[in-house]
Amino acid sequence: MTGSKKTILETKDLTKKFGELVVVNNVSMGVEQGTCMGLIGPNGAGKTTFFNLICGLLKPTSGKIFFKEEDITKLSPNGRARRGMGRSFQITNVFAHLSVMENVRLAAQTRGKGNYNFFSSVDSFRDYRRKTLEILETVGLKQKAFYLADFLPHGDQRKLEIAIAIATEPELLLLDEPTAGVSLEEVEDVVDVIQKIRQTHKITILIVEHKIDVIMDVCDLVTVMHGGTIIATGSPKEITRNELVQTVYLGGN
Amino acid sequence: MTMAAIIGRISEVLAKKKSMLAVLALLFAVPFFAPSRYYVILFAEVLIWALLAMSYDLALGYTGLVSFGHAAMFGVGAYACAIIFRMSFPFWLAVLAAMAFGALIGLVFGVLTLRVGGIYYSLVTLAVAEVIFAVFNKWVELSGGETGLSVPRPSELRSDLLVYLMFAVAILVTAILMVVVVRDLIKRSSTKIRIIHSVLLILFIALLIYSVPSKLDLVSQGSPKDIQTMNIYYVLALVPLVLSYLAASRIVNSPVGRIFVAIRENEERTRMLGYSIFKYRLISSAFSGLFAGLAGALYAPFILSISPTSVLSSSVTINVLLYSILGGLGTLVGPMIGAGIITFLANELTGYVGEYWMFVLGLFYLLVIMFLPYGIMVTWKIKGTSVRRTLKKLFESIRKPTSKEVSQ
Repeated sequence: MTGSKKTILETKDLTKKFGELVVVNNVSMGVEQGTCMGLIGPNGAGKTTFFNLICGLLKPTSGKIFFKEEDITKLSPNGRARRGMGRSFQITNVFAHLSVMENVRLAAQTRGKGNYNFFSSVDSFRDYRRKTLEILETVGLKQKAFYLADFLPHGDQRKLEIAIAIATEPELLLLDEPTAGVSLEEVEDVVDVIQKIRQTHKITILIVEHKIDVIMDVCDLVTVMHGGTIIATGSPKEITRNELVQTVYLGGN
Repeated sequence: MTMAAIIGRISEVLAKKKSMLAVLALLFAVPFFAPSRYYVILFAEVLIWALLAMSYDLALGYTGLVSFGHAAMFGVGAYACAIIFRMSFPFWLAVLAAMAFGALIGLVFGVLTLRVGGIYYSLVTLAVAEVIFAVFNKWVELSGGETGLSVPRPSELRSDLLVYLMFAVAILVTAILMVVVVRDLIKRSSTKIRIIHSVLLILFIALLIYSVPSKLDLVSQGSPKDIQTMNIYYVLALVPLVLSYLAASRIVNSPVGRIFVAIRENEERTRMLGYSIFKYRLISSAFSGLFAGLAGALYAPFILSISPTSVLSSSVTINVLLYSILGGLGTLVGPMIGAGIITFLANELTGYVGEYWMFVLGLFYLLVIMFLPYGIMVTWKIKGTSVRRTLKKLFESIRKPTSKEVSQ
């Protein structure tokens, strides 16, 4: 029934140049609703730039981006987030001096009613608290809810990063190298968290990753980027067998 | 709900705010305790600067907007109040207008954040404030130019009723505090802190009983109207300050207030969550301007004559910045304490060290920055528990030898 699935995110001839350097070159791709798509490629392939184009931190030189069939090319990052795009960052980007709880609560609040309420105490919004605790439970940080985010070990900060992203209730979750800088033992933890989210939240995920095995475990579909263009798309098994991919990427290792 | 249940609920809520009640009772009683008229005036001035410092904290301490043009909000508020009041509109209307104008300047500052950030925002706000200063300095028909504008004292203030009212409030707050403390004493009689509370309370009531009749006599015998006016003026500054503080603490604890803090902590992350940074900075800046305008409106009839140099110059901003840094950013109370300490020192030091007062004050700033880099309140928040623990250990170590001697 692949035909009935809707494309949630689509890029058309997306190009980004920094001066003369073409980092993302005419990329056209789509992500279908409900799938988990992995984006891999060697260093400098343009993955993170492509990611920043999608979430709006960078403006494309040319090309268009569609989200839920709406042209969002000119929309601000916060506007895109409001429409249902949540992202995590490659370099941990949390509210370091706020508690774990408050980090996630701030994200949960985006979907609540009180965003312009300046008179009621936040404690009177029970929904935020309930939802926050639920999510912290899912990612396994409930015991550390009142730690300052800064004091968490790196692996837990990565989980918090994901928790913040899903607390905004996105339809499309963008994960930028969720296991970057994480020790080998903790990688499994983070992968578990992503698997769990796939089961409980049933959202579409686009994941950029450097570690091939993470992608192979989690994703339904893998896209390989090299030199700013897409060179292959397919199931994890197909990709590992693809000769071109092996030469540019796997062979390079 | 029965009457008893309602009272029970209220006293429960108040029991959690004992220190606030104590401070409130003290503040309301100042005009009765003050040894001379001079101190009442000084305290009233402290209150106005405290309100201004608090308004600055909303933008700087909570949202992280480093504005160097806060004097503009204050000064425009003061001028708005003075000009409208001189056109013989009622005083309260002039105050409301001042708040509106303050908020308007706040909105202008907020719009600036759209174009510039960081140090550039600070410089642009400074420039805007200087432009406003120049306009008021040169537009003599509006502002009286360099000579300034004299502001009449609101006639509403010349009534005996207000003195009695103020006295009643002081007594009422004290009574509530007393009930709460006694209730606590009955429940947990062993706690040492409660004893200190109650001793202080008794002292306080004794002082009040001792000092009030003489002051009330002054009123009934048709005392110099000036003393009354100054006393009432003090309360006129205190009530808006208390109300503003309550409002501001609600704001910083609301969902909007939490987003302010999020923006201060990590702008990019907040944007990626889906919040419009610009809108919230606008809201923060407008609230800051609202309270700053109110402070200006109270200041104008207080010093009776305002000029661009006294209310619009950058020295006002620098003072407020110092209050905030000394007291501790992002605490609301901190900057108010800072305002109190500095205004007091600046006035009192001349008596002790003469013309060297500025030198001593500068030394004081240096010491505070070196040893309390986050300001008084923030340091207290971080170190408070450990200080209390150390004190407790100290008490125990004093007691311990005797218990050892007993056991030997």
